[in-house]
Amino acid sequence: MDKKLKIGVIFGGKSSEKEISLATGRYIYQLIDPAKFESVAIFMDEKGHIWQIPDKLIIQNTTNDIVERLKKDAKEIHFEDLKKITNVIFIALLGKYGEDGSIQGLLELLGIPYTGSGILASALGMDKKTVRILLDYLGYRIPKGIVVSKIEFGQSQTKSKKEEIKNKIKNQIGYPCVVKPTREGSSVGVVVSHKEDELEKAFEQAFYFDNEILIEEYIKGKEFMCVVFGNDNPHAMLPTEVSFQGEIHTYDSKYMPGGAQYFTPIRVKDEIIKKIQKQAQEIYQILGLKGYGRVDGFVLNSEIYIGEVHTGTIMVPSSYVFHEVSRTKIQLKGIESKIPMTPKIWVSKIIEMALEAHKNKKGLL
Amino acid sequence: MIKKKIGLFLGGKSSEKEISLESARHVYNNLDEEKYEKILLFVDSSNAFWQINEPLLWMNTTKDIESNLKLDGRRVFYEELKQLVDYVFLAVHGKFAEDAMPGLLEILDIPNNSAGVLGGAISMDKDKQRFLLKAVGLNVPKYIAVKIDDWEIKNHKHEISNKIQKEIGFPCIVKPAREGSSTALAMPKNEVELNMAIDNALNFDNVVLVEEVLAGKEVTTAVIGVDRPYALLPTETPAKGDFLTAKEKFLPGDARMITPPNLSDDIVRLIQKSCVLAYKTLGLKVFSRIDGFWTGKKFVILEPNNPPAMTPSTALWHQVAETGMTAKDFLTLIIEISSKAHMNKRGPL
Repeated sequence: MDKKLKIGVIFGGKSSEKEISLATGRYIYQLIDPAKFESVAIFMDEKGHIWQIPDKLIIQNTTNDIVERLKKDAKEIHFEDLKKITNVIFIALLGKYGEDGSIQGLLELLGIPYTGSGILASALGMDKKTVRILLDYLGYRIPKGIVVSKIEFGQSQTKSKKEEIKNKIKNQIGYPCVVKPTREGSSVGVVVSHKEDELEKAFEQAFYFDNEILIEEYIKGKEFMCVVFGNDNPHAMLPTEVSFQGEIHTYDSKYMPGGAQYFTPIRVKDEIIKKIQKQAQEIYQILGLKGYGRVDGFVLNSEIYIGEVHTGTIMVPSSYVFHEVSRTKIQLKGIESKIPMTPKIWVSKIIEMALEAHKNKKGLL
Repeated sequence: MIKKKIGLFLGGKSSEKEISLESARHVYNNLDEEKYEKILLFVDSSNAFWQINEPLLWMNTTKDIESNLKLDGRRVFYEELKQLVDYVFLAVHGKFAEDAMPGLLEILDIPNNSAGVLGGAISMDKDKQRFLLKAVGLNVPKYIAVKIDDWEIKNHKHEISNKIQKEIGFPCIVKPAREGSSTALAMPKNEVELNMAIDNALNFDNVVLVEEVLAGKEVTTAVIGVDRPYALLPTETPAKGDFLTAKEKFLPGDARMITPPNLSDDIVRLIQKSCVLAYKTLGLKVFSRIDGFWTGKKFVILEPNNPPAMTPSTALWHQVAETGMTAKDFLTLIIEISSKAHMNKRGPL
């Protein structure tokens, strides 16, 4: 076999999801198949600087623990030198700067292949407002929603503008409603408001994370996530249903092992499962996602509502992604019959898809 | 007063690097020296950055600059930028400049004049941007997107070609989905030419647009702002041939420009309103120049450019002059509004 490809797993970063990113990066680092690849751990600090870190730092519990030991145990590297120590970057950064086209832009400048979607698809996936415009126009069912900007709401001296916005919510959305920043992941800053009195507090929280917020109708249906993988001819896996205590799937219920109950596939009729997969695959292609991604939504009275599109996803041992992965059969070179995918094969596949997508691209991914 | 250090970027990897050099010279000459200290940063053809001194700016071409870098330039690593400058003014255009640079600057947390990560990427991708524009009720040229996967790999050439002839007709315009400045642009008049044009354009991108030829007046309009964007007075740019060539766009004296256009006030207002709506819908920030077409019946959006060319004779400066601003005032305005926006942002602009 030729010299092994060096895979740089990058994690940490500048977003509110940096701890989840660390957990994801650590797991991926450990899943990279040593028979095929060599792995390199790259930590991004809060300034956006990058460090090559040794194993003893990767197993630290928090990004703070890593940061404290960087100077002593790690080596800061120039972005331009990434190409010398890696052949492909596995992006395990999540949320802002990692999932929204920023790191993708930087890697395009450097000419290094990376996993997942390109700049535009990543930026679109992060921006719930713009995705809603597109999905609505294309005829997908989405929760009713309105966008309010901080300027519009916060700086209006007159009370009437605030009243106007509240009336609009009452008439067009109704209660309860979900208030969220237009660009955050992991349910950060998401609040359910039951009545008008609770609205301003919810707004305040969401505006902490973005200058534009989205107020959506609360859909009391079955919530699902559907992972899609591939480049030009993507494949949607069996969607997972999540059931949790409380009104929304919060940061805690998402990331505590056992914090929520998952069912793969979602407990609805087969024809609806097929419909979810078809829609997820179409949306993936229309938005131009590459490698892997995720389409989330709800099923209520047999109707499918598309909620959000994600170009990155948490991957720790307990993640539902691996429920979907293990139910997907795959054809491997040299093996005649299809075999179920394992987390390790999944990680190799993502890397292979990155190589394919970047080999075939013209200009930027 | 402590002067703000402006890193003025020029050059780059795209086909538009010579235009960038000319834009940068004009910006360099017009930046307010009482307010700003100017630091020239050249982007070479491998996207590495070099700090250069003023004499290099007056070299003939970017190639001349590039061959003098080792001697007269100083390599600047990406993460050093934040120490070196307070603000980045991009006078680079096209691929990498519009769509990839904003991401780097966000990670380094340096305020800049780009349209943002999403805005920059979406204005390079004419296929995706048109979906959004149509979704909010704006007019775009009738077009068909041809994907390399369907054209070459699945070999649906015949069906696609038939569909184009039926829905678009000849002549039509063929161009890569994500190239600017007339790169690989063709106007085939029959099926043979169409196939050749698509094959050629697919060398530049994996998606190619085939669109209708519009008749009427080509109009370009600058839009400025972050939270409450507004449009300047549009400029009419009549083409001599079938469409505006790069020569006409950038060769001094080769293009005619009429600001405001020979259109009624109502139509001018409609054009401005449409451009502002397009700007907001595409998530553009700071400033952009939006090209469009008045067909006599409706206003059709062609594409946004950001940052637009800032060469001395380009339409942008005509429009700025109409407001009573000088180029110096305008550059200060751009730097001020974008600095403020970057200070108040939550996540990338």
